[in-house]
Amino acid sequence: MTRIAAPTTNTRKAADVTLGKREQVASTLPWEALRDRATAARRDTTENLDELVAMFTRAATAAGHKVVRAADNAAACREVMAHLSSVPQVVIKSKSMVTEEIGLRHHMEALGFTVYETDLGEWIVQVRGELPSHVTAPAIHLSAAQIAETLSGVLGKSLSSDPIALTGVATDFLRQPLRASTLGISGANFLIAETGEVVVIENEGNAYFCTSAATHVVVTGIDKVIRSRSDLPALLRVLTVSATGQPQTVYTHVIGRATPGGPARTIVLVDNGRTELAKSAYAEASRCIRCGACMVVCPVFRQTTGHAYKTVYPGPIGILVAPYLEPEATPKDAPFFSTLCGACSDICPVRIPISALIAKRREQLWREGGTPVMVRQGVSLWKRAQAGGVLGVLLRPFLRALLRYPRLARLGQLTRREGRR
Amino acid sequence: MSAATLAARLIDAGRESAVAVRPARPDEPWPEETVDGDTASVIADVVVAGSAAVVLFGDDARLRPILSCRALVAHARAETLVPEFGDALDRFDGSGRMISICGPSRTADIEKKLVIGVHGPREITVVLHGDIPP
Repeated sequence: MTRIAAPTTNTRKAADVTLGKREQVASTLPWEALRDRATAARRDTTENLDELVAMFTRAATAAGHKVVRAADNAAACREVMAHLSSVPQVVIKSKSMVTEEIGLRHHMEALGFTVYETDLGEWIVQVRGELPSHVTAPAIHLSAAQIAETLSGVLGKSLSSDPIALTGVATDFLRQPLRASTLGISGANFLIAETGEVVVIENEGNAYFCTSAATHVVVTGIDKVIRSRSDLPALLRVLTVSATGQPQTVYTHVIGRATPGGPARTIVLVDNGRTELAKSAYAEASRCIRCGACMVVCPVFRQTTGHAYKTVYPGPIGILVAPYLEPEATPKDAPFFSTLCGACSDICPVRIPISALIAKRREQLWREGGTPVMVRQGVSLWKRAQAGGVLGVLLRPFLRALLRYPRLARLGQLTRREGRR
Repeated sequence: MSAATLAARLIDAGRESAVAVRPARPDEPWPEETVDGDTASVIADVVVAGSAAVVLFGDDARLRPILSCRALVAHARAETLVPEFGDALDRFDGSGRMISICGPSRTADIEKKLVIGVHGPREITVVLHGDIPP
């Protein structure tokens, strides 16, 4: 019998590996100075979003790419399809959170296209019919045994749970489509406004093939824009160290001017709430570079996995960006999926005060009357106890007991779970 | 930074990134770029000493066969070496693509266990030509 580990344990183990490597590599670098540089670059993006997007659009158009802007999910999917042949074909895709956000794969599959996710972790969650549970490590919630079980089912042969063997099987499976498909879709890690260049980083080599297919569509958020090439080194450094503890990824692609005979390239710039976020009281969250460090360090994420958040963007930063990028999927009580311990703010490479912003969302929810009933009643009980009088005197021993026996608080948890399902 | 200093940094970084660095043999000429079966023998446009990254510029007609190989041998001279990624970026004229290749393709998507060799080359060698004392 193979022992299947619990998802939370898988997540915690993987998170600890990442945190350990991150700590070790960061200690060899001028880390705080790099964070300052990266933060300044991203602050520029948030504060001058319209200007930089317009600048990028001009430069990338001049570089021979087609650039289109999409206001929302449906428009983004439409724009992608408008640049493809209407005859369903085989599509190779590299990892992109934005395509998850807009539901592109499902949209294309419904139209008869065959879509291969070609990043290993992303392919695993694709065949399992799941969302990625982390922005850079999609299969972080799974054990090798679970992955072996899934892939054995898909490929119709019994596979061992050795990660090397499983990776080999996936590589073999994806090799032919990667090399043969003429239609590739990718995201982007950064867009350089001054030059119109698209930057994509990866470790496996799959993104190279996706971004060099005869037709290449880049689907990315307008917030990926940065002003200049000089912003790139610090940003790439803090991104890779924070995401995986690597000083740099194996591949860094800087895609420049179109060349004769090269890919026909369309860049779809997705807004979908980003302009609104950048102008909101939570604008600092728009600096996010999607490294996922706030997730692996978060006690709630580690315990519940990314899937608990119900949104494409999970974890502490997800609590802040999901209400703008995926309002319908965001649970109303999402700001309570946090202990406000501040670990996310401490680790964020672009110094987003994540914890303070989550507290602000809680306040907003309270003002709007959206706070879960248990929390509202709890707070009002506490207020009454504080207020004194006969009721206060009666309440205090009860509330003290509540603090002493945390199990009592489970009552609240049960009610909440019922409410959300 | 002198070529010797850069070469020393390159060798150190190569150890970290699993990139083999060796001097050209006395009888080894400056090669033509070839893709022969499983091995691509290329002229590196830049080599980043600080990370042992081989940087190539150009269009996908050049790059695709190289990225499809199992082994990549990159030939470099003193003037090919630069200290950091930013220096390599400064040399990119913006035409086509700049690709920085820092070690064998890899993944750690299953239980964070490092597996070497996915879709890109799984063996990287940098060959130093000319008067670079490695």
